[in-house]
Amino acid sequence: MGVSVINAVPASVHQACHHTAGDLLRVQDLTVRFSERGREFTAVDRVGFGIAAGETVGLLGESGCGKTTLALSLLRLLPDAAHVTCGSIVFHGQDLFSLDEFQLREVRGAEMAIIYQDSSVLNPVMRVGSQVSEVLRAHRKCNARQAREEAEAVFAAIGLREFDRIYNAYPHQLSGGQRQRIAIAQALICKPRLVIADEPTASVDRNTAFDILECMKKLRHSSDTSFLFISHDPATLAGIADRIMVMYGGQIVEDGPLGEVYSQPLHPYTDALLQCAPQRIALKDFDRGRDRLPCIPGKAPEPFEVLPGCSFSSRCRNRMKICDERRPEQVEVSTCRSVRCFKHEVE
Amino acid sequence: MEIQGLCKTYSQARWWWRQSQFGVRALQDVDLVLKTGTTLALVGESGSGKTTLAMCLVGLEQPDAGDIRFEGKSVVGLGRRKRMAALQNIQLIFQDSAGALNPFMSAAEIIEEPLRIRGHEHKKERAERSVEAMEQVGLSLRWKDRRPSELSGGQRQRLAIARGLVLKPRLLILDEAVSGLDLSIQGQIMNLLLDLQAAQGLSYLYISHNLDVVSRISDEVAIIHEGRIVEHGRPSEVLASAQHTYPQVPWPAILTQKSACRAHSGA
Repeated sequence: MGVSVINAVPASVHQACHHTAGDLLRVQDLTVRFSERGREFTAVDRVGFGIAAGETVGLLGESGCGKTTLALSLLRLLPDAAHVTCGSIVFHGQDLFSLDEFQLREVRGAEMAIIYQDSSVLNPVMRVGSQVSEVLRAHRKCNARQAREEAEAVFAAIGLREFDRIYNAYPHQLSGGQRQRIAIAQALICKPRLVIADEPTASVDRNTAFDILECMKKLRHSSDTSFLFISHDPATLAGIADRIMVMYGGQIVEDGPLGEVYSQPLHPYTDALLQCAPQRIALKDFDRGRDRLPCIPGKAPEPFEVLPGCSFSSRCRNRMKICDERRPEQVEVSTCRSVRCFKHEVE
Repeated sequence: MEIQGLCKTYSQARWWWRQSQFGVRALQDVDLVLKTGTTLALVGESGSGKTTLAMCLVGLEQPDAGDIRFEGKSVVGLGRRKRMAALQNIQLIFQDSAGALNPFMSAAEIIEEPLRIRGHEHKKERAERSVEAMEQVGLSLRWKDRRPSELSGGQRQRLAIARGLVLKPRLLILDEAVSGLDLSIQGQIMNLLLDLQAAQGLSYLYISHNLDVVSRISDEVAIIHEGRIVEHGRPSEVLASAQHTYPQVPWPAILTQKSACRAHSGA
């Protein structure tokens, strides 16, 4: 591995084209704008990426950087206040923006499924078993018994034991970890081609999260389902993703294989974020009277402020004059890595 | 602060067809000592009784047995008024700052509220103290009239800490106060807490489920499991021996290496 930063060659601007052939999902130039009380702001700004079949892509970014908006726009589930101003999404050969609501229902859940952050999406007055089998029965012709058998297989795969008790339970009778696994089962039961996991482990404690991630890891090796795994925590993505996309201020600022991005981050934001982990500090070296924990000073820009330059420039350690003047374009540094930073643009 | 033999049992909901015989034992014989000006971290998985302990300490739950002494005086079993006077100096900061702040109040009102409850009548004095608290936590005064929904997660957490500080407490109980925040903001808030401790000699009881993080900022660590303290000692000792009592998910090795970018950027 090892990408030489000095020999960076800029290639196609605007486009992180990695797997043009055989792509399951291809997003190009996607821009989503929100209009709220007469004010407008851009939540997702000219995002382009592709996901190959069987690939797991991690989307890393702070809260408010547009991760969830991006996920929702892939399923065309954006709220009314948001609208896509430009760009295209091609999923499995279909342009999603050309589909009507009926055709979209066939895609959602069956071909592309989403796991939400908290398990409050479960209906509190319905048994979880019927909520899982409902997904299957909406898309495929099968009776209740067949659906139950399918559900049993999925429950086993995601580590839910005591099938009979859980299948007939209501959401409030289950623990947070179990509820989260039910939400995952709902997404997986139709064996979709792409699963969008929007922080699936954010609401459970770290050890439960680890168990859930282990199960998902096994699943992804045993099937050719692709995952788009969204998280704000680099550690969560470390074990599961093949490729990492780092998002900041609505843009994808860095994209590349996980190992390379984590060991040699190119964008200053990625670098600073990875330095923030307290686990990096050796215990004996840390003196509470003198040392401070690493952090990124300042805060992410407000969505309403429109900056002429790079959105990270106010927090960047290596800020240059050009950073405040215009926006950096996406530069392909090597075959599968791209970054949005002037440091890597060749004059 | 001293805690001796604290016990708390929650009885299960009673249905008409079944009398409850079993309760949930949230705390069993908990003994802890927190010295002035130091930080004690209480670590445990979810459901181990961490939050119950915090609730007992601030008097929101009454323990079944045991004693809590704060600066030599027992605070258990007092009436409402006496308890309020005794617990003046202890403030609790909740895990979910968005849920703990009144969405209909502005930031300044939120900070002033504890003062109003404690009977500080002068409006001007209240305003002065709220401004002071906002400055302490590094919250810009232009956010004064904003409501919590208009603030970011890090600002809300600062606001919650400011509300805790405005009464000038001597002990601050932080119940997972930073665990919901982004990594880059987490460090900012923890540094703020370290600075405040150095400046004002505050004591912290830091409740968390993440041993790695709290062990960097505390003097002592206690591990709680099913309502019992199973380990107690200096962070380095507890980290070494906690593999049996509180197995932690390993931190991915790829993140612990120093990144090569540092060398390139030359900063």
